[in-house]
Amino acid sequence: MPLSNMNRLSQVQSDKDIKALSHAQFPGPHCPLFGAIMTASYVKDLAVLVIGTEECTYYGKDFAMLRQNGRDKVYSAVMEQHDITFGCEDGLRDIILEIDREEKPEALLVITTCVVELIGEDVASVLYSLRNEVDTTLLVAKTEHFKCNSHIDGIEKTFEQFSLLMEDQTKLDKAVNILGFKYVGIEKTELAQALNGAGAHLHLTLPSDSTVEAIRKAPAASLNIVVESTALGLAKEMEKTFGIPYVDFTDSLVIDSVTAAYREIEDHLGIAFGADLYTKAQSTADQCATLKEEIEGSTFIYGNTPWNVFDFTQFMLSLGVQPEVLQVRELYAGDMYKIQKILSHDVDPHAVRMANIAPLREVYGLKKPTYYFGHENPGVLKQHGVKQVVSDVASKRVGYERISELLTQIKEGRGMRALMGAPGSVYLTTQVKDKVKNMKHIPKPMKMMINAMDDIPEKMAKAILKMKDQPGAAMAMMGGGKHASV
Amino acid sequence: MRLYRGFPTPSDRMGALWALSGVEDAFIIEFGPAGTTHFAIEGFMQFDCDMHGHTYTTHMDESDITFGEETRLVNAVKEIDAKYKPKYIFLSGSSISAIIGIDLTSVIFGLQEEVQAKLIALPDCDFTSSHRKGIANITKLLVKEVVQPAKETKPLTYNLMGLNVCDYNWRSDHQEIKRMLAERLNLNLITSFTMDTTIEAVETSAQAAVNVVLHPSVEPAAKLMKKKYGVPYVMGRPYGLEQTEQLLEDLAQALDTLLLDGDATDNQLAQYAESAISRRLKQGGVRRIWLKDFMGSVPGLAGYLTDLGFDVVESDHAPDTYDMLLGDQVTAEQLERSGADVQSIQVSYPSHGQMNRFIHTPYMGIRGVAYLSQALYNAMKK
Repeated sequence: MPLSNMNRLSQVQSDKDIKALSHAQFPGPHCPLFGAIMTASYVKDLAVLVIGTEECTYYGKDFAMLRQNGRDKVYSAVMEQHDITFGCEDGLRDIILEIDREEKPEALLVITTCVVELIGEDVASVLYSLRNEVDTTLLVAKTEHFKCNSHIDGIEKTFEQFSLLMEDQTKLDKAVNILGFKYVGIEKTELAQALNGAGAHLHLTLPSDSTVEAIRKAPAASLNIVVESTALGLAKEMEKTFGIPYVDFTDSLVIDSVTAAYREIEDHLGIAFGADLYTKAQSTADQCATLKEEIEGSTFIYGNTPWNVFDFTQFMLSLGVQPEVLQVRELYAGDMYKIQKILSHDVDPHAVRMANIAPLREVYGLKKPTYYFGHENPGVLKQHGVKQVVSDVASKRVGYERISELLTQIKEGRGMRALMGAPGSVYLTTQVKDKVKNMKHIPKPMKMMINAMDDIPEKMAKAILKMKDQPGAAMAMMGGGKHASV
Repeated sequence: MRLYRGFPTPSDRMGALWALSGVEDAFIIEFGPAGTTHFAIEGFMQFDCDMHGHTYTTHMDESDITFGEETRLVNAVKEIDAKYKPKYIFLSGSSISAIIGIDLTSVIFGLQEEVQAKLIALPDCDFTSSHRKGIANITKLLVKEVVQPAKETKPLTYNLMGLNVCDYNWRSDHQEIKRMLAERLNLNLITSFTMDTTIEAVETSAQAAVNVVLHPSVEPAAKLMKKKYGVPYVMGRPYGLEQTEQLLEDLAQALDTLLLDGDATDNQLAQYAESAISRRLKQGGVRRIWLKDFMGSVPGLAGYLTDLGFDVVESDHAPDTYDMLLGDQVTAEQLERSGADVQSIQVSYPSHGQMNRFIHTPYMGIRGVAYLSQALYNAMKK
């Protein structure tokens, strides 16, 4: 019984009380290096030096290269046996001087990994001692994974380092920085359009649309709006150093909090949003009430969403949907208060460690929840009669529209297939299922997934209908299921 | 400490995990911080392939490091053993476990009697060796620990050694080698170390009449198989007509059989393509090739190109002058962005965001001669 040794939420007093469903984890969480390099690679011209083993540096480079389409500026300082035994200060100094002189980066973020921290190398001191010998601005982020359980720590540390790039600027009236937005298209969001309509303008969106120079000039803004909690540390630092106030827009699944954040922005900037904006609060509340009537009393397992697990759980509780199992990445400041609020609803779900797919799958059949929130093989969920909702699209919205979009996703049961494009017709779906049923050269998991889909996206359906049932047919589908095709 | 502007050389541990990932029902438990396992799994995207072994992590925290705790590993092994009942569980350390001195062999000594699976420790990372050493280690380890004695040799069968997922074009080369050995020697493959295979196939591989070794780094595994189970081996890297025919003749001799006729069209096309290259070279122009084999995937290719008449510079760094790059996608893109007027042909990883699943574009074997020569010819023409 996979849950028998797991704590319930009421038993969680500290991070150690959240246990993994199994000792052997797959795939396990991402590490802070991943978070740091992901955040850094948004900044187009920020150079990065990763110090560590071949493995950490190689995969860090690989990830940045993929994200930046081969245009990354990631360098690797690979530690050898000698560095581990005797330290790497001299070698590191030489490498940084070489990068500074030959590559002339605007700024260099040095990321230390597990081995560097394990041997106790004080990289921050090395960088400090070099500050007058280099032209580049040196930043450092420690990303040892044995001190935390996810990549979030790496994101936060990288954000905080950005403040060291910033310089005092003449303030621009009604100029706003958005901190923590990681998607393309901030200008299309409700928040950006409301700001624009009220005479304010976006100065910098960090990290999704930034350069070193733009970060340097960030303090010209009159206000920071923080849309993701990992950027709160940076906002606080900017307030302290540059006197820029910030509005916390991270409690984004609560209508009253969104309204309060909008009001706060008005006060800070001396602007007034139009009445149209605040009418959305009521229409969103109406949408909540309508959906609540429909789904109240159902249950869910929390897999992974772009939001804090406890914020999301409170949101679902406001719709009358009960949590059965919560996958928790790790506990953050303020989470204990949120847990108490959840428990006040007279629920006590199991709380288990995130990123451990195999044993979680044994739980679906036991709990038989109505919903699963997060990425997962739709076929596996379908087998247990669980509806999947993938909420990625909602996270790209900011304001009431985020809640509204999330409600729509839940109502329509938008699972993984929603990420594949527009649904096809019932006729196409039936045709595809009939065809796949008799195909010999298509991997079983793929067959299972297709059969589990209620409506197959049109493009995917047409591709399958064109596919010939012959060795290698699986190649036409993502994954293929085999290293070699025959 | 070494500085790399491009990709650092992958480590022995990475190579070991890449190799084991091709054994469909291999269970691997990594003892270390979870991030490297997650990265490794996602890192397979660079090769456009999936991880097929079952890889797990124990994760590790400060307390484990401070006290040298092995409990997480012990619990994970017992759990996997009880739940999946695998025949073998491979235990992999991490850089952290190696530094704090966790001895996997000792862990196995204390744990083996409590589990059904045979526990096999992967060599510790030594912070020196490359992925090739890791692949070679795993190939040898499988021969030593997994391959079982065969009651008798199965005639007309073979194993392949020395092609791996980190070798660009491995799918096509694998396909062509299998096709060609079936056509010219009527041979059937038992297993490939270590791609697209299973534990059972590896166990029965001592039945093979011969091992075909395509990369010199895995020769120690072939030697061990010969010593332990009497399976002879033939080494070669069939680039070009001459080396391909040599490998086929060596195999025929080892098997005491005669070569069958191959497809005449294939042979004619290969001959035509090679002679076309010679003619083009005599006309002048493109002659100097920069061969950048980042992954060490194409041993023997430089010799073949030299025999064709090219001036080949094998190096990680660009030579002063060159007319063509045979290398990886990343280097080719950098050249393109720099505005260099240089044609390139990909023969190695790394790459990014690339699909590479088509299996009929080999560089090895008879058809490889035609395909590679055609690519070279067209690159020279421009």
